[in-house]
Amino acid sequence: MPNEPGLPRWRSLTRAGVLISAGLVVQAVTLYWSHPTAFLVFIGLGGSLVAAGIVLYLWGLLVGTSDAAKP
Amino acid sequence: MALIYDSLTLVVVVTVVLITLIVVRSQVTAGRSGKALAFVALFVLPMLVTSLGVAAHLEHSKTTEFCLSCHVMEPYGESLWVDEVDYVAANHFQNNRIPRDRACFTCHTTYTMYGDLQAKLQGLKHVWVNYLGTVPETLELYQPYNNRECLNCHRGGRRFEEDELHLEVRAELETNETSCLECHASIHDVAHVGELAKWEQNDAE
Repeated sequence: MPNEPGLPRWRSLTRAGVLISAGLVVQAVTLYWSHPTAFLVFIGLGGSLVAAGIVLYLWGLLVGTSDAAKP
Repeated sequence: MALIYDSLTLVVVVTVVLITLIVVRSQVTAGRSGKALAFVALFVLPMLVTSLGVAAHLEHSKTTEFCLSCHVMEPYGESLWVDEVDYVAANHFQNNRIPRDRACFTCHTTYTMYGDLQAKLQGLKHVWVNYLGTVPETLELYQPYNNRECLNCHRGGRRFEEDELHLEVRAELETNETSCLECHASIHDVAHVGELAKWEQNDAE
């Protein structure tokens, strides 16, 4: 797959996408589970996956931008 | 609540579809609008779902169904159906003096600025004890029940304010020198709740 200049690398974009998607699915499932544990899973698992994905995406943006800025 | 959950689930589905599109067809993100789309799908929408999800979970944690979902709380749920007018929790619940779908929270939150937050933090502690600690045989409040929680609704009410017995101790009730529970002593009585007659609501009424 191509690595577009100025964009996060495709691999980190893919990883970020998978992490965020997985986190969001976990979060959506917990919404239909009426139990105190659901909130812990929402934050602990879902929130962590989403946060990791977002960090990876933002990191990819920074790295991609700095790579593109190199002569 | 169901509408909020369904809306959030819809946003999750849309986000996952967008992310899949961006990952499978990465050239979509070559242009400025594509980059903006990626930012929305990979940052804005996940943050939105997480924030609204936390709010939805916190709101749901106020429901009676939520509180009674733990096994240890079952006798307390049963006590709401005791067929005795002197039982404070049952009386309030059965006569709609508190919202039935928020029965526990209405009386067991503290009506202070950080009451909700405090209740949530205590709830997390309860989950911890439930899974990793030892649940005590008799559950007790952290502090003596504060009259403030009763007066939040009853203060100013005609029947409450004009009652002769209340008038005698009215000032003391405000300062907690006299507890409401000194007279209204039958609350949940979980030790005997299994033996007590229960009210069976006739849905046709």
